[in-house]
Amino acid sequence: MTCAEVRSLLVERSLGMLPTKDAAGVDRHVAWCAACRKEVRELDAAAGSLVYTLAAADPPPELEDHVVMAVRHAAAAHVPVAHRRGRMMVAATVAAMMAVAGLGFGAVMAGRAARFHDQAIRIGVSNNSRLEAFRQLLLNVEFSPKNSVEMGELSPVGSGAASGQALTLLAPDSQDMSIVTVSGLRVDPRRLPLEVALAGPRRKVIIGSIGKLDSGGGATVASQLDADLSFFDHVVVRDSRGTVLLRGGLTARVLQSPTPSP
Amino acid sequence: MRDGVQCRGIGATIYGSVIGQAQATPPRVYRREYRVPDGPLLPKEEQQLMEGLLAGDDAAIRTLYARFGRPVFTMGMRLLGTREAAEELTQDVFLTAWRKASRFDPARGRLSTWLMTIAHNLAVDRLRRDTGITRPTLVLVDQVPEHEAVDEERAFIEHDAAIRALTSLSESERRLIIRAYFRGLTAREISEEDHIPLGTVKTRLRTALIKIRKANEGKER
Repeated sequence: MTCAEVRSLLVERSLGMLPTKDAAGVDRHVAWCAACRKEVRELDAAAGSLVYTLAAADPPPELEDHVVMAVRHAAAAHVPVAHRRGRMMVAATVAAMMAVAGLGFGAVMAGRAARFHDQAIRIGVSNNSRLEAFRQLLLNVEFSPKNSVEMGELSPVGSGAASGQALTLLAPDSQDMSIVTVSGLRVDPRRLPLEVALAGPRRKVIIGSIGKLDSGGGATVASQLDADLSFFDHVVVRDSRGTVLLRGGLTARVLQSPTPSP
Repeated sequence: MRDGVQCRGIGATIYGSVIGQAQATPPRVYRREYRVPDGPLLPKEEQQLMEGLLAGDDAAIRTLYARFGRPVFTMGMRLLGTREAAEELTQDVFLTAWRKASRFDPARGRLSTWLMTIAHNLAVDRLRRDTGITRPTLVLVDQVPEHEAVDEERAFIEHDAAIRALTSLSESERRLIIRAYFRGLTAREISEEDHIPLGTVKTRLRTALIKIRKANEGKER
């Protein structure tokens, strides 16, 4: 669509009069055209203000609690069970993989069997069959060629021996997932829980909180989110007072199809 | 035995001991104070509220409701006509906002605009779906005594701009906007009802919306 075609539809779009198909075409154009986007913003604001031309009606006092309960209930349920089960299986597998083998995400998630195998040998993992089975699970159970992953290592802000790894699975056909593991954290219990969040240029999304660390100062959080996680480029772990403990950037990796182990 | 079976067991063990431990404190109980002034919200404040909403944070939901619950309910009452429908719409709007919270971008528009767009879309969808129902008579803000419409500073700003917007429209433009925006008619339907060309309807709608935009220019973000 050209700018002229789009602008001829903007008023109808802002007033909610356009059929979905036409509105989608306009939105695609507006996503990259700054000039039309500015026009949309202004017309949308004008249309959005129309509600205030209606004589105000007072909602019943109990409606606030009903709204809060409805949203909290939805947020607690968060994702359909089928998705949650599948994703948590992967999360569990990844966590298990790292815990058992001590492998980095790169070796695990890049999906190249040879690389996986070599790295497992290099770090002296004895139970290679178990690791190979993990790899098969990752490739066959959940990951599809359309998926991609972003991974990163977390480093302490300031001194300290803490570290962490983060992985974000970007799945066009289902919900995105993020998993973060930390280790070596020494945190005053009064500064728990820790907040683990993905952050981008203008926003962040909380993956989860860590209420308790294991004896090695470690924990793992995993979450499936409706958000498009490709907007986020780093991970931040903060204590309850907002102090940043760990931080790390995420870089894209492409999942490869399974290849035979050498 | 397939290796995968063994793996699942190990995975589950680790999940229970490590991930389960982390989730013993659910992520959504994370508490935060939302210190937002009574005046217009800054983009940063809007973003924080939406992050809180996405996380299901009680304080964020209540703050958003305090700001936008009344206009959303008003939309439901005036368009759908019953308190039950308005309450249902209000819940649906906040649930939809939660579901779409990650898509909200303060750089692309105000939170109030985004929420009212959701409210309008849901209300009009319902109007179009329930074709057999008698529509309530629309009551506009300049048809009620002023003291009923204004009870706080923020509402006063919106009320003032709304009065200016309505005053700026001719009677025919007002009727056009009401049918288009509040009754959910398409431009083609209006064209057929009024026996005027489709292009004329679109031009008049554009003129009317631009007048409303100008009437709102005095309002700060």
